[in-house]
Formats: sequence, C-alpha cells, structure tokens
Amino acid sequence: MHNDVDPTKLSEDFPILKEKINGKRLVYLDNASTTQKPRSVLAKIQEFYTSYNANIHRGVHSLSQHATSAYDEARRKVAMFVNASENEIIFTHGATESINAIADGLSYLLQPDDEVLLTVMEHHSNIVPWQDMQKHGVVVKYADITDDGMIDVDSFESQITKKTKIVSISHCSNVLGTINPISELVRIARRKNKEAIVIIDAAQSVPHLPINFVELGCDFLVFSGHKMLGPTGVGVICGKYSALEKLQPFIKGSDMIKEVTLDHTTYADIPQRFEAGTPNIEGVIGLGAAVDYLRKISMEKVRQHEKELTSYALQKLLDVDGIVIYGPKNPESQCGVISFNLEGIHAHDVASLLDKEGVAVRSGHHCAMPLMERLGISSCVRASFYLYNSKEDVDALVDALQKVKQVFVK
Amino acid sequence: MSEYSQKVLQLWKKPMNRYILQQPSVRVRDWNPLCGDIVEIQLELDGDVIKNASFQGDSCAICTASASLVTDIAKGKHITTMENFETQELLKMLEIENLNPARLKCATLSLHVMKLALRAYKESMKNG
Repeated sequence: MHNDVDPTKLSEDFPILKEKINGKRLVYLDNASTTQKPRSVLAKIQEFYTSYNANIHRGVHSLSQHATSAYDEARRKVAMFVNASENEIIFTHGATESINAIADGLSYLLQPDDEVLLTVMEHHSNIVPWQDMQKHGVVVKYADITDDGMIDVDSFESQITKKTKIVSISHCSNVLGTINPISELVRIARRKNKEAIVIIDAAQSVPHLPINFVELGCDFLVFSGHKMLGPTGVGVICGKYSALEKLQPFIKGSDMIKEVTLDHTTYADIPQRFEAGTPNIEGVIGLGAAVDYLRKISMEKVRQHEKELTSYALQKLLDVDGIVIYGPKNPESQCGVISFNLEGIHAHDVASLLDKEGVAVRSGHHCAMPLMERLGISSCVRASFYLYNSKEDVDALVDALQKVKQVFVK
Repeated sequence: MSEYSQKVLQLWKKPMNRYILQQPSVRVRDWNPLCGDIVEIQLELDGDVIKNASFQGDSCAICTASASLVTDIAKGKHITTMENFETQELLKMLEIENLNPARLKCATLSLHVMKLALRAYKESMKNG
C-alpha cells in the first residue's frame, strides 16, 4: 500500500499546516473554498520574482524570453492535466471570470426567448452571469435535484428544447459534493439539441478527480487555480477549438491583437486573443507547479484517498447525535465535501466554536442560495477535504462537534 | 469563548420578545448576506415613544441574543434614545469581548434593523 497517498507525509510539504490556531493544531477542512499551497508552488513563485521577472510576449531580452517560456510551459502542463490541446487553454483570473467571459463572449448568439439551462445546485458564479441575460429576453431554466442531492436527470432532459442555446452545469456541487454524471448529461444535451453549447463548471472537480476533457465531450470546462494547490487570481477556460472560434473576446486591449490601425483591429489567434493585458504570470507559473505536484501523486490516487476519507467521515459524522447531513451520503457519487447542520444550532455558531478547536470549516450559504432554498435551509456547515487531510483530521472535527454540543445545551 | 458569554447563551436559550405583534406600527426585515442571518423587528409606537417591540428571525446565537436584548431595551424608550444607541453599549450589555469583524455583524444586525424600522416609522409619519 506504499503507493497510496500518505497525508501525514504530504502535509510536510505544506508549511501552513504547522501553524497553531487558537493554540490548537490547524485542521484545515475548507478546501472547497481554497486549498493550501505546497513548498514547490511557493518556491516557483519566488523563483519567478527573484530570477526572471519580466513581461511576457513582448521583450526580446533574455528575462522576457525566460518568462514567456515558463508561461507557455505552464499552459502545456495544464492542457496535459485535463487532456486538452495547448491552444484550448485560456488563462483567466478564476473560474468566476471564466464563466463571465464565456457568457459575455457568447451573448451575441442569444436572441429573446432563447433558453439557458442550469441546475438548482449551481454556485452563484454559474447563475448570475446567465440571469443577467434575462434583461434581453433570454429565459433561464433550472434542472431540479432529488432530495438526496443528485441531479434529476428527467428534469434535466425534459427542459432541453430546440430553444436551448446554452447548458451550463457544475461537475461537482460545492455544497453537497455530488459528482454529476457529466458524460451522460452531455450526451442527453447533444441528443436533444445538437446546437446547444455545453459548459461545465469544474471548479470542484478538476482539483479532486481525474479529468479528461475529450471524454467529457463538453464545449467548455472552467476551473480555478487556487482550489488545486495553485495561487489565487488564476483560472482556466478549457474550450474546444471550434467552440473558442465562436467566442468573442471578453476583455480587449494589448497582447490580444495581431494589428491595430486607427479604425480597425485584427485579433490575435486563439488562445492569445482571450488574454488581454499583462496576465497573472506568477499565478500561471504557480499553477503549472501545482499541476506538477498533483501529477506526481496522480489524480487517481487523490480521488481514492478522498473517497476513503469521505467514507470514514460519513460514518463518524452520522454517529453524531442531532446531525443532519445533506447530499448523497455516498462516497462513490460524492467528492470530499460534506455539508451538515447540528439540530438547533446555527451553522455560524458551529463554525465559530470549531475554530476555537483549530478546525477550519465554512459556514453559511456557500454562494448557492437557490440550493439552500431547495434544501429548505438558510445555511449549513461544510467540511471539505484534500490530499493532506487524514483520518485524524476527521476525528478532530467530530471531537470538536461534541464540544460545540456541550456549549449549546438547551 | 468570549463571544459566547453567559449572557449570550442565556438569551439564546430563552430569547425575550420573540413573537409577532398584533398591530405593529412598523415592521422591517434585513439580513446579512455573508451568513444568512435574518432579523425582522416589529414596533408598536405611540407618537415618539416605543410601546412594544418584538423580533423574529433565522439567526445564529449571537444575533438572536442581540435581537432579544435590543427589543427589550427599546420598550418604553423615546425614538431618539434608540437612534443614538451605540454598538459598544450593546456589546457591553451582551458581555461580549474580542468579536472578530465577521461576527460583529451578527451582533449588530438587530440594532441596524431597529434603526431602519425607526427611520421607516418617521417617514410614514411625515407622509401621513
């Protein structure tokens, strides 16, 4: 079993995990929000600034050449990581910006009464940009979920019509952890309307599951660097070349042009036409280093580790008196995200007291208010795992929950 | 556990004034989008004097305790007394120390809603 992920050994690579929080060992279970960074990523960023900081795609001098090759190399790494081609990878500032860029860049294709299909489990990032189109008469529809937090495939299928121009759905729910059957949903969407453009919000899946862009069959896949050990401020649009040809640039200016005259601009080729201005160079290079780190371990092993940990956590948490767990409660169809409430105690109070014990979790609506409404709650507590989390971390969470219950006895 | 003082826990367990008024002069609701705390305050006024005050909501212990206390303080007070009521005074009465900025919003939401309600009441009086 020496090939399995050893979280105790891996945690040595993450300096922050040595920090004490309120005098206690840090138990970081807020990975769906953002992940910690390994030394190799931090070193790569430092190396950029101390050895070859320069702007890319501009200078002929050595530093600029060095920075440009490192940036391009990171693009190759990210492409390989999700099995896409290099020219199908566009760097943005995060998954939210990626979805906004796609919505804005495709908006010219949508007429009044055209439809956009989402699901009720979407993050606000995959709702608000589409709702904004309602003012132009576009109709936004939502596929429902089952009570155990799985996508209602019938609801999804029945809502795809000849008017559906966009289908935009999350791969994994940031609240419930549900892993949606994306390949199946893409097939259904194609069968019902072959013109529909399919976008996958993979912010919660690319960091945790092996992803094959070609096999998923979607047109666009978006994700964030900081949720997969990379720095903040860098995200990705992975788009089929044919889909990228339909996309209009979202931000215009320098570095995205082939030629500018006083009355005309010719855009640069794909992908450069979508990366206007000086990009987040350190972020992209840092993301490349994060991808190296993950590939060295292998995403199959990351998934296996998180599946085992989720299984262990579900067992332990289900034993806590008065706990209500939302979502599938099945590690096979759930990534390492578990949301819950303790009966009669507000999620914020639970999270505050867990923090006293060094346990970092998220509480609130998790940027998914429509999902909260569907679940009939206003907030919940979310524990989310990554490769450096261990069973001891789960035990610390459960022990801390018992302490919360002692404080909040009615 | 300075934010969970005995006072907060006591008011959380047995909140005062958590009911609906039969004929409120004004009712105002607001929420904290960060955490989802919702507080509605109902006031019954006679001229410039608050005769009765109540609250409802879906909120954390700190917010619930605060709403309970704010409505209790308001009873019998002149509008301007409550308009000038300060956050520090409220925190002192809740026996809360060292609240981080995120949780400070939990503690102050009810006072904010109280002031919104008083403003709405004054507007309605002005407009007849």
